Order: sequence, then C-alpha cells, then structure tokens
Amino acid sequence: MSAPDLEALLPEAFAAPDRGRCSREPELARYAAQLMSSQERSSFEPHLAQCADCRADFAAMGEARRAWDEPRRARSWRPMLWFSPAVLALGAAAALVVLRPADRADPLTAKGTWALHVAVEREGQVFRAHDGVALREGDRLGFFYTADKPGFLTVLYADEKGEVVRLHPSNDGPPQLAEAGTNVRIPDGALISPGQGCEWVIALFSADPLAAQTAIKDGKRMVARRKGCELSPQAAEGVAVQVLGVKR
Amino acid sequence: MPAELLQRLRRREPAAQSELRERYFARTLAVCRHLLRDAVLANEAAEDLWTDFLVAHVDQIESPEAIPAYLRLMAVRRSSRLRDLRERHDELGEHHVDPAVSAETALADESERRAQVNKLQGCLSGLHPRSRRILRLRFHHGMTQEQIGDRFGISKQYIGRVLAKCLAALRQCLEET
Repeated sequence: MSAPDLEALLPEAFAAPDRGRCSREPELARYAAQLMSSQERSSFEPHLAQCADCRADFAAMGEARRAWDEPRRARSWRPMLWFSPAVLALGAAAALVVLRPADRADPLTAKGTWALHVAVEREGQVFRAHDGVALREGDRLGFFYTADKPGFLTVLYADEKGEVVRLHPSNDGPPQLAEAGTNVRIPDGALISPGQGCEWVIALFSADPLAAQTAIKDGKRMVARRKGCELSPQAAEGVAVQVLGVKR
Repeated sequence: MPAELLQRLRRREPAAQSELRERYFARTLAVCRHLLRDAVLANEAAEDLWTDFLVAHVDQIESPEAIPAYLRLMAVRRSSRLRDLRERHDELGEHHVDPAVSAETALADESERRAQVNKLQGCLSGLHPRSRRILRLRFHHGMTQEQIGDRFGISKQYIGRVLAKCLAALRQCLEET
C-alpha cells in the first residue's frame, strides 16, 4: 500500500465506533438531563418512541447513572492485594515522571503465545504501564493476561535489595490454572508503597504449576544478576519469563 | 456549571479543558468501566471520546447544563458499541465485516475499501495505545505535530518520529497480512 493510500484510510479506520447511530445526541442529552421545555419534550418523545438507538442509549444512561454519580465506587479491580509496607518500605522517594518513547514495544507483550498487561490506576485515571514506567506511592496495579492456551501464571514484584514478593497467586495459595483468553483480568493487584531506585514486575508463565518458592528463587536470581536496572529474563526450561522495569 | 465554561471550551482554551477534565473525566471513565468491565479498554475509550468531545462535539452543545448528560451519553454510546463489537468479534473471529457498515457500503469497490480499513484496524490494534492515540489525533482530528506534542508534553520532532515509525509499522503489517 502506498503512503497516500494508507494516510487516506487512517481517518476512516479511526472513525468513532458509534458512527452511524442516531445523530440526535444533543437532544437526547438535554432530554435525559430534563432540560427540555414541555414543548420540546412533546416533539422529541415521538422520536424516542420509534428510534431504537435513542431508546437503548437512554436506558443505558439510566443503568450507568450510579457509576456516573459515584465514580469512586465503580472500581473494576477487586479484590486488591495490599502490600505490606514492610516489604516495599525503602524510604520516601520523590515521584519521578519519565516520558518514554510512545512506540516502544511493551516488553510484557510476548512474541509467543501469551502476554501480561499491567494497568496502573492513579488518582482515578487508568493507564497501561510500559517498560520503565515511573510509579508513585499510592498507585494501584492491576494485571491482565492474554494467552492462546491454558497455563500457570505467577506474577512477582522485586526491588533492588532482592526482596521478591509473589503478587499472583496471592498469599500462599496454590498455583491456579489460567484459562486461555484475551485481556483476562486476574484477581490480584498491588498498592505501591514508598520506594526508590529500580523495581520490576516479573511474570512467569508455565505449562506446569510453578511452586511459590521456585518462582521467588528465580526472581531473586534475576535481581542478583541484573546490570543496572536491566533485568534479564532467566528461568527453568519450560517457563516463559517477561520483565517490566519500574522507576521509583 | 459556570455559564462561561462552555464559551471557553468552544474557544478551545486549555484552562477550560483542564477544568472540565477535573470535573467530569473520572465520572466518564467510571461509566466506561462499568459497561466495558475492562480497565485498559475503558481507559482508551474514555480518552478517545474525551478528545472527540473537546475537538468536535463541544460545538453541538447548546447549554452548559447539558454537558454532563452529553458526556454520559457519549460514554454510554461508545462503551456499548465497543462491547457489542468485541462480542461479535469474539464470536466471528478477526476478519468479519461489521454488518451495519457493510450494509452501507454494498458497492463492490466500497467493500474492498472496507476490507482494507478492517485490515488496517487490525494492524492498529497491535500498536502501543499511546502510539494509537497520537495517530488518532493526527489523522482523525487533523491536529498538527506541534499540537499533539503540546498535549503529551513532548516535542513535535519526537511526535514526527513516532508518526513515521508507526506508519512504517502499519505498512509492513498491511503487507504481511
């Protein structure tokens, strides 16, 4: 495809997915907000009665009312695992915002058959973490994976001192089979406590269950062999490893 | 809602846009999350519709009081449409053509173009979300590299490099698929 062709197609590819639906949104919004005069209402209501798009949107607006009114209650990651401050209490550090190249490949997007995605929730907003992400105290992490076949997923969090905690499966629970799927949310997350220097999210995916001790030992070995903030993925045969570097 | 906020939004004043975000973005995001049940997808949907609102839809609003309901409506529309597309995509596999769109584009040459757009959308989904946002601002909203750079707090030269890399990656993806 030539350059002009591609650039001509891009606006179409980005067209809003709701394009093609009824275009009387401003009126519907005013109707829903009860801002219409009785005259406007009586002229709009016949449209609402016969327009399937508007009826569906009006119903969905009502359904989403609570999320709109109480956004803090509408969290999608529950339950969260809260770090023990003792584990990551490495001293207070100033928040460091590092802009990373936007097109840098996310190292947690595997070339093979699976990938772990890390989402960060900060002050009510959510963004996807990339390698070198700057995390602050109070950030919450949520994890999602994509896998084309079932396996066992372990997620670790490690710091420069070699402290390694297992985030998933949480506590001392047994390995759990991760079913194949796209953007599957795992129930465990993390709350970031004060820290400084380099830290890492390490994901291990294996066809066979991986004992917590083995996974943590692998994590510690990787931290011991790191070069600066670069952690090379290393693990036993049959275990796929991915690392996401975190700056504090 | 102060009456002059809408006027300032129509003048595309950055301070007014920040004020609006402060007031309503978390709520808009909450609606997307509620409907999509996928934090990453919801965040992208909310950011996209937010940009659409500030760049284009704000001119359609008649009174400032209607802004919250309009944003809620946009969040509902965008999320439910994305949810339907995702469900249909899961059922039919990657290369199906949206029947609503294919009905509009029944002519053969249009179908060919639609197929190319579908393919391109598949390639776009493989890019980093931020790269996708930059491409969207450039090619959907027609913003300049400088305007995009201001939005992300990075230089226009850097945006130029990102765009060039993304276009090269998309071209390669289109050739491979």
